[in-house]
Amino acid sequence: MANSPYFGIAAQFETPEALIAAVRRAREAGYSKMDAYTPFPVHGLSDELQFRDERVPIFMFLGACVGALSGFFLQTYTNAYDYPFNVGGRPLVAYAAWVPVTFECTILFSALTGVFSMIIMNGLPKPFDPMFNIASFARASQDRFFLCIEAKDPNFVVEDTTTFMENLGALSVEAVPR
Amino acid sequence: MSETHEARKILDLGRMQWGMLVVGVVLLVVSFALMMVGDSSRGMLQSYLWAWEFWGGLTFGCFVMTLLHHSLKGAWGTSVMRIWEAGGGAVALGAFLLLFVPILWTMFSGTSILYAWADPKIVLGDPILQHRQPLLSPVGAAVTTLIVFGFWIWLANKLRSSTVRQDTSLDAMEEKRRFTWGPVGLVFFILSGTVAFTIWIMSLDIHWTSTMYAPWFIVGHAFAALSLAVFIVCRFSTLEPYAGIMSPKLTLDLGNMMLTLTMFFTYLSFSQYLIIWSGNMPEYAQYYRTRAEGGWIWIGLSMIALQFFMPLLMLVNPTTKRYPKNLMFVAAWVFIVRIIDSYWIVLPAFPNRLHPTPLGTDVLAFCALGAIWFAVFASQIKKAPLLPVYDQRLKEALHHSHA
Repeated sequence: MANSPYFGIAAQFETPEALIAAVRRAREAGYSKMDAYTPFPVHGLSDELQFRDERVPIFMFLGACVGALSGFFLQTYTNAYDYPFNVGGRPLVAYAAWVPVTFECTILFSALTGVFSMIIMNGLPKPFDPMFNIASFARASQDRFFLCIEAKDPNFVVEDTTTFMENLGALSVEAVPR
Repeated sequence: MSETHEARKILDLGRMQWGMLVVGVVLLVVSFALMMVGDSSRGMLQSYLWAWEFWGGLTFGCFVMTLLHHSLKGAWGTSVMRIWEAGGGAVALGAFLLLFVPILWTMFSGTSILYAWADPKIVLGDPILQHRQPLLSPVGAAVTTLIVFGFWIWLANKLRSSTVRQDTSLDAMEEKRRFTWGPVGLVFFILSGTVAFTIWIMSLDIHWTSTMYAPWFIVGHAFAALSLAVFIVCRFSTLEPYAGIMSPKLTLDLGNMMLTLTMFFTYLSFSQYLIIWSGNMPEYAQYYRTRAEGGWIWIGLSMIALQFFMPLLMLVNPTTKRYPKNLMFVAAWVFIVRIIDSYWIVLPAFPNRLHPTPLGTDVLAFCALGAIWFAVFASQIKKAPLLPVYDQRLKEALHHSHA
């Protein structure tokens, strides 16, 4: 239901265990487009949501390769071509001495790529999210655990989904306006 | 029915004890005989020292990993602790103290078969060696070896009997006591190991010194010990008791520890090289010079690829760490490369070893001590459950309390 007036149906739970159990039942009921919101990282939740996104490690590996090459290139260029300088009779391209800087550049590029690709692919910064439309959601950063089945789920029907979520043992179930 | 029967297959590492012992003793007798014959004596003793360095080093590596486990208390460590206890326990250490006798004999023989400082005529003309006499003399070396081994055997025995006791008493205080001994033991192991490796191996290059040497050795040996343990766990991951604990989380932890040691070993290896390279002093540089001549350089260079890049690239990939079969391959790889690396570290120190061609005596000594190592390992591993009982019960208790 792509043009639903709702973003989804949100249920509020009191404990992380209840949330995980709810996610499992929702998945068993055939829902796939859902997300969970918790005040702290809950172990096993992303497995239960079947959230698998391994793009960040790939970007980090590419960043590491670029870092290694640019660190090595920087030293080769400056020491051997731009301003050749004889240090104690050592070769101009003294690659042994360049390993530390190359290594540091590898780590630096990899870490920065990791941070920025994470921020960008998460869609951050995100000043507004439809979940903010329900007042109780403020407690998602304090002591409540939320599960939202989104309207883009093929099995989403406002009434059915609401009934289903009410049966999950939630404290409250609310429709989230767009 | 047949499926449950399959799942209950139990791993029996102790079975190989007598076979290995017979092979080891026979090969050892042949080695000793060759040491007595004038022509082959020198080559045989050199090969023997290398074999002792590798298999003895594996024993020390197992011991230091036991100490590390008792310092960290990581859950992954309990899966392999019994392997390290058997490989680096009091009996294994004692065996390698006994096997040190031929090397000790060359020190007291008054000739420079292995160590130049053992020859009084050389020492007389060398002020540096005279200055080092307190440590680098037959008596100094023998006393240090005895003290160092005595301390290690005492500590290994203390820790092993504590884990065995806890298996029956389930007294958590034992674990607490080991936790106080672990870090202290680790510090003293590094200190005593520094002195010991200086005498045993570093003094082969008579005028060369490096403060990075002992940590380099200890980490290298720990790396071999870790890869052997990981190999055993992954190879027999379908047999009990390992089948019961095998999970992607465990192989991930073991793989990450291997990744850590890959990088740590390379860090030490390379730092030592870079410091000497930058210093550019003839007396230090000669160590790498002898290891870069006559074909040795190809072994040294290939180690960069085989011992660093290969394991690193295999281990950063999460797929490698998810399946025991993949991790087993990396562990076997590292173990074999460690053998070649130790060959490259020890043997070029001898002036007659100009080329890295393995001699028959190398193979003989390596197999002899290897068989003895596995015989001792087997005799020790069957004395206690492969997985600590106290830890299993703890896990079960936790599991039930959650359910």
